[in-house]
Amino acid sequence: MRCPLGLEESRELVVGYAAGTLDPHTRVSFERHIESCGVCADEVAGQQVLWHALDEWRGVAVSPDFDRALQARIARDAGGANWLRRSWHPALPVAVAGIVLGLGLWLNQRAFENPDSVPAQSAQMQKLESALNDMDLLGQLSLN
Amino acid sequence: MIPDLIDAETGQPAPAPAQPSSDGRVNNDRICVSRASNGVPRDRDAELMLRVRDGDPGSFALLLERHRGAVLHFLHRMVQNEAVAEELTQEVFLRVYKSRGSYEPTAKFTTWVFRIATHLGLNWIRDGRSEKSQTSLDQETANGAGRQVPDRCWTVEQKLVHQAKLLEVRHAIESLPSKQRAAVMMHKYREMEYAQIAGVIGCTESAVKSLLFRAYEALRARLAHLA
Repeated sequence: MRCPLGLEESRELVVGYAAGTLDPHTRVSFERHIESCGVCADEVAGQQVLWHALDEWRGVAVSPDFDRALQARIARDAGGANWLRRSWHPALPVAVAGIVLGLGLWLNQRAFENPDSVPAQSAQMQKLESALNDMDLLGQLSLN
Repeated sequence: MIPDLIDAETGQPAPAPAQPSSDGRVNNDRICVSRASNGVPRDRDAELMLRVRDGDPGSFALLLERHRGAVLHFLHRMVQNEAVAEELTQEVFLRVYKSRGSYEPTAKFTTWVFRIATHLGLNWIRDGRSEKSQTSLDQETANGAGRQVPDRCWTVEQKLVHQAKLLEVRHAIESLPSKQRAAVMMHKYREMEYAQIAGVIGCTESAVKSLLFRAYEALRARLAHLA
């Protein structure tokens, strides 16, 4: 015997009925349906067994030390951010930019003098760029 | 400013701010439920979080008190390890606190918090630590399910039967794919609606229903003998 309800509709009703979340009108309608539909009646019975079994699993208690531990973590995190802000100096990005510019000019000069070494120098430039990007990111993190 | 969760002098939990009454107002510190730009009233938790954003640590302590239990229960059922669940719960609220400066109530507060919790829980499961948790799952149950809220009226026999059932339920939950597990935890134990679960997991409502119904079918098949 097949249930006249669509599969998705009957599933939703079965779950809602066992959970007690159906509105009163829908619940009454579905109860009338179950009286004549063995398929849904079996599904409901199974879902109710499951619901009761899941109810056995009650929550664990929060440990007495939870708030203190969280406060310590927040303090540690704030301390780390403060250290980063203290160690960051506005002149650093300027200094790094100067170094990168100088290196870039030097490498360009070498490339001009020795064209065969371009691929290796390109890899070096990529590393320098990556280092500069990392410094920028650190700067953004410290501002947060 | 670090929120005063613990009184520095007494070492006891700091007195919680006055609780909002049913109409959302607090006796000595009114929390009026305001409206978003589209006219929809903001939920009370969102109001509290906005106060945290504005520098009120007491509101963070209140949010923590309201939600840490629920987040812990959710994560414990996800990762099935008390110590890990507590650590992840702390991580959730640490991230909430760190995000206070940029907080915008674009969704319900609980949706946001459980999105963080689900993300952390799924990451932990994905990283394969669930294999190590199998030992602690059995140990926890053998020791009386750790810090599970006890029922002091039980006889020894009732406790043993309960523990055996609990172990079966936990094994059945653990056998679910992680997203199905998360959906069941939110639907069954948090009584979240499909739309909110979809917002947490980041999928459509019909995808959530599909996840849930497949999960419940699998669990019914596995736990039918517990009738």
